[in-house]
Amino acid sequence: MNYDSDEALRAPVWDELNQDDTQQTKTNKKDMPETSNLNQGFNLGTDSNITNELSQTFANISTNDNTNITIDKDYTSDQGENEDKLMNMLAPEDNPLAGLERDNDTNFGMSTSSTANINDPLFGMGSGSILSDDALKLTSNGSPTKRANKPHSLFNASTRLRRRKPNYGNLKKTENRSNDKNGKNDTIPNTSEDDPLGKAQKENELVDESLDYENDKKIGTRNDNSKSSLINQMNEPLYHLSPKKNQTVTASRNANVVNTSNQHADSRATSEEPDTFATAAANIVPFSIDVTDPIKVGDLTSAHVEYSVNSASELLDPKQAQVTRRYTDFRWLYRQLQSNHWGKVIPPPPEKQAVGRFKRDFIENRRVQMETMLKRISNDPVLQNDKDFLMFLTSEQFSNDSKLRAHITASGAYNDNNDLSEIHISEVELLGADDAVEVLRNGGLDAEQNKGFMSFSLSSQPKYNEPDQFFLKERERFIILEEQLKQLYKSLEMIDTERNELASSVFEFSKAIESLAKLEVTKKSTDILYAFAQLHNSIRESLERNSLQQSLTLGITLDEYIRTLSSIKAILNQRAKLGYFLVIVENDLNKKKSQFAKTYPDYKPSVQINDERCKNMLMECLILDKRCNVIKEKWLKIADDIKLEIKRQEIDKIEEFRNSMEISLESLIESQKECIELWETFYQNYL
Amino acid sequence: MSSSTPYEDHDPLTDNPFADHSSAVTEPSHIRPPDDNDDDDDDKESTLEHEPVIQEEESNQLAVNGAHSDASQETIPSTGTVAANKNIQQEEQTSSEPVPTVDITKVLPERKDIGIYSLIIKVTGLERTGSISNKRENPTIIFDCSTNIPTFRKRKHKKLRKSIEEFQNLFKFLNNNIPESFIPSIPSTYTNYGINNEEDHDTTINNFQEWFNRICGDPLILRNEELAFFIESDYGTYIPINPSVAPISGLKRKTLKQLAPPFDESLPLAEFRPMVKSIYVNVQNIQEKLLKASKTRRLLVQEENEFGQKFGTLTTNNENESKLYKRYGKIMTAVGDINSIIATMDMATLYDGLEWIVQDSYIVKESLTNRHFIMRDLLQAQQNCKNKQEMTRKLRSRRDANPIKVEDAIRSLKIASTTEQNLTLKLHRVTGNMVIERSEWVNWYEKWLIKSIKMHTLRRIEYERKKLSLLERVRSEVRRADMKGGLSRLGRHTVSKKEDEVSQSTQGDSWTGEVRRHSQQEINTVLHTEFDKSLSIESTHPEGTSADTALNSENKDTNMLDAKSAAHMLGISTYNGR
Repeated sequence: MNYDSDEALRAPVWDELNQDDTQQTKTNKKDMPETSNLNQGFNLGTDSNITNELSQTFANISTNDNTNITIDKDYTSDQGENEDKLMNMLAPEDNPLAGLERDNDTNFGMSTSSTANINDPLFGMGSGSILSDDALKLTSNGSPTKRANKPHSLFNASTRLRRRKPNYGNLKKTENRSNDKNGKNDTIPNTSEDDPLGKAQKENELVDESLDYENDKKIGTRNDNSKSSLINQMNEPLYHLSPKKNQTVTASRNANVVNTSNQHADSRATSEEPDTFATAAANIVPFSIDVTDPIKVGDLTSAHVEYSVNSASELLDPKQAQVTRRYTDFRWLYRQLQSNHWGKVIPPPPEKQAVGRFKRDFIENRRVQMETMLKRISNDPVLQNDKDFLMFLTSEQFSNDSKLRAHITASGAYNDNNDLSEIHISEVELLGADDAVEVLRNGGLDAEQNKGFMSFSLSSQPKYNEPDQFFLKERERFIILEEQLKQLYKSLEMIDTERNELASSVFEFSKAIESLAKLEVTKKSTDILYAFAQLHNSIRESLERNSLQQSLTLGITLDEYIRTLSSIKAILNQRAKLGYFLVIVENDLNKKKSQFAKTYPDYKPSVQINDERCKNMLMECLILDKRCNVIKEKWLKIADDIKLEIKRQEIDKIEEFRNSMEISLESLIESQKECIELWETFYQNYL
Repeated sequence: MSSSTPYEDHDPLTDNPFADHSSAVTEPSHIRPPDDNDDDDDDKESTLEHEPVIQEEESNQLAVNGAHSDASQETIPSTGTVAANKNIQQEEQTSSEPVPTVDITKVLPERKDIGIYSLIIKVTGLERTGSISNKRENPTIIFDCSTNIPTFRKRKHKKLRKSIEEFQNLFKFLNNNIPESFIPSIPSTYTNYGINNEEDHDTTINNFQEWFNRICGDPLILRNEELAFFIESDYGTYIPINPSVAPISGLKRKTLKQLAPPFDESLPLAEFRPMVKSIYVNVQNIQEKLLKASKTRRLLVQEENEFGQKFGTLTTNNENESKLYKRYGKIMTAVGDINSIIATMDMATLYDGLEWIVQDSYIVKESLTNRHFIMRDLLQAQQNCKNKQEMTRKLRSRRDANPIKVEDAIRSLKIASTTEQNLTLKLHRVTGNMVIERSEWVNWYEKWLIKSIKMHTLRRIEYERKKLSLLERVRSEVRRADMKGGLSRLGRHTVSKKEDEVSQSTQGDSWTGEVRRHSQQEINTVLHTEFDKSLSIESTHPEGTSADTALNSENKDTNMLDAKSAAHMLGISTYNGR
């Protein structure tokens, strides 16, 4: 995640944007959104350069989206100002600062003046920047307008934090950490607060008690009820959460702190914030799932293993359920979830394997991995409510149900690619059922591309260039990480092998000692030799146990994470695919438009159209445009989702790793102690 | 070993009508009295041929003297070493062939007054010079020696230097010429520590000191003049002066070994050879398995190092995270390195120790084989003697005997019977000595084996403890990565926020109920491993603090020394190989 780039910081100033929004709201709400878009689209449509157009359309989208959404949403009033205020009242978590920030432009100026290098671009109008949108959409699941306010407070808080240089924890080391943290804050202002989802989940975790003191201190020192301090205070909880594991002040923690401090007028507003997180966290309904009893069923040709899945939870229709599923079903579930929730990392199933499917170890391994997958899905607040997931757990006629669902959603859940990261974008999901039917009848969105004679088309294939550097960098990073982890895993396996080799060598050694002992040359030497042999036997056992332990902890963690990386790659691929579709549809749209312009050059939107053919063409253009917008919207949304997810994954991964590192380290220490104990006892008794 | 004639009354001359009778006939030709300074065992072999003839004559003269060997020794002028030899030897022959266990000193006069002659050798140094192979296999031992053995010209020698080659020459000589003794084999000249190593230096010196101690404990060896020649010769020039008797070797030896061993009266020795052979085979087996385990361990080390390295270079977004990974990776690598040290230590302690046992048991086994050969020779000699007797008897009963033939027969009979006598005496000596040396050797074997195991154990413990301290050092960091670590997973808050919770302290180990007090010095060696430098590059405080606390506690400990803890500390083994 590269937040050093200027793109991240080129977020337009919120109030300017807001004013634009409100203006737009006023002006555009009378028109049909589509036509207005169309007009604008027309105005820009003559540009031949696609990427240029893309960026411009994105720029338009930023405002258009706002207009669309503000129009669509009920609770927003026509007036931008009131609308904001109401939003603040009703959904303060997304815009706690709206009321305050408006008055605090000057404050912003002052507070951010010290951090010239970062905040300068803040006030520049990087209008065409994609990331502006991304920054806007970065923060929550809410509307863009709400989000618009976030980035600024982000930067604000970072400066405050930097100045403060809190000393987290009671350890001497923390100086380094806090320095790092602050340094980090400089570079990742964007990431430090967001992810309310992640925050909610981490509410109970990553707690650093000492930080309380600091926060209290911080809050105490800011008894001045100046709004800037209030902003910062409210900002703080949001920004302390960073991927850094030892910056462990969680949102909830600070939220709780904020909760308990009743010093401020808007405490109600702030307290609602943690509540929503709390509720989000509490929304994880407890599930208990296990996968057991692998049974080989079927005859020679269709032999497979069926597992029985037992689950119990409030969310299930009968509170408990027990069904039998096979590996293909698990895979179906994975693909289905992938299709239902774009941009979300789905816990991965085990790999496909054609040969050796019936070996006991393999079956056991698979069973464990599938159980882990189900458990992780059920622990995710979004995924646990997924219809398909619940159906998976409860349905008796699963094969029918699943096939039906796969067909309805066009998710391609069956016969999927073995590579978990290769995804299939469902047209139904993308465009909505009706349009999708239309599209599918034509052979898919990329039908034109694929129709070329002998699979080479007349016009050059539109290539999707990912405009957002973030994704490119992330993709690279993940590729590197995957490579490293795979090697690490291999290395771990080698260690395991060698350790077992050593264990057997030690065993032979102890046998040899025993045979010398049998000679009974002298009593003393015999006793010692027997004890020596016994000692080495015990050492061998401990070695074997140790290696088993290691493979169970670190090995499993690494393996899980490597497969999760596939899932992560999958969501990146989803974005790429969406972008690709977008490019195609825009292409088509442009073609259609130019065609229309050619055929009816003197078309005026206000003039009534009588010509049937003209109407049809217009209709088609409109459809394409709408399609284009839908795709674009999804494409943008997925960007944010992906960023959230990746952040969440980072935290998850760090946690997992740290946990398994700790467990394996502890087990190493324990076995070491055992070893020493054995040797010492031998020494004491016999030497 | 049955002879047709009983030894006690054997008179080789009874059948010789011309001979005088003598009561003392069983004259072991190669026995010297304990206080005869000049003579070598070797001389006996060389004069074996002369013995029978002179023996007869002188035995008559000495018949009256009875058992007092000393008196007669003085009275009879020695005309030369050979003659003196004979005279003195005759004294010893007054004793009839002993029941082996009773009068061993008669058979082995060297063992009588065992403390009279002493040789004290102290090895002071070891030099490795020259080419690589010379450095390894032919270093120079530097030692001092002081003695009161008459074969030596000087009583004290200082800073003697001898190369291993010379040692080997001496050993070969002694091995061939003292069949009664188990000559200790030369220990290995280099250890698995590596020849440029101080530990190797010390171990080799200790080994040679041990060898010298064993040599000096054997009275038969002490009296051998070759030993004196060896010690007093110039550096690099020693070659045995006296001719050496070559034992049966090569193909003949191998074929003879195939035959069943002759009936062995001495039960301990009869059992001993198979046991020694089993020891030889089994210890070699152990060595092999140990080597294999060591090699596997080294492979494991490679993998561990790689794992640690790869772990340390995991890319992360988070600086602290990557720091943690780097540290963890470094610790894993360091653990791997310690494992490789352990592998070396294994070899250097146990393997090398067992090596000497292997060599020695081989020598013992071969000496026992030689004894079997003597037994076989004796049987043949007895057979021969019987034949000759038969012959002479036949001649005696004939009226018309050719006087030349008769003389021949008688002469050959004499030779045969004396040979038989000598062999018998020799066998008795060998058997007697070997029985004594057997128990000595077994004791040495036990002592040496236990010593090797002890060294091995001590080293192992030291390094396993170091491993533990390394692991614990990183444990606190991993735990504190976030507050979800440690006991918090069990729902309890972290008990102690101390950074250096060390489980091995002067109070003993924290994980066991047994009180094992360690001296602060031991704790320090364990806590501060060789890898501290490479590890502390990354870390900040922990090393410093633990070092400080260690020092502080050290001060405290030394201040709190009282009688009880002092006594206890004296009792603690602080030996770590030196």
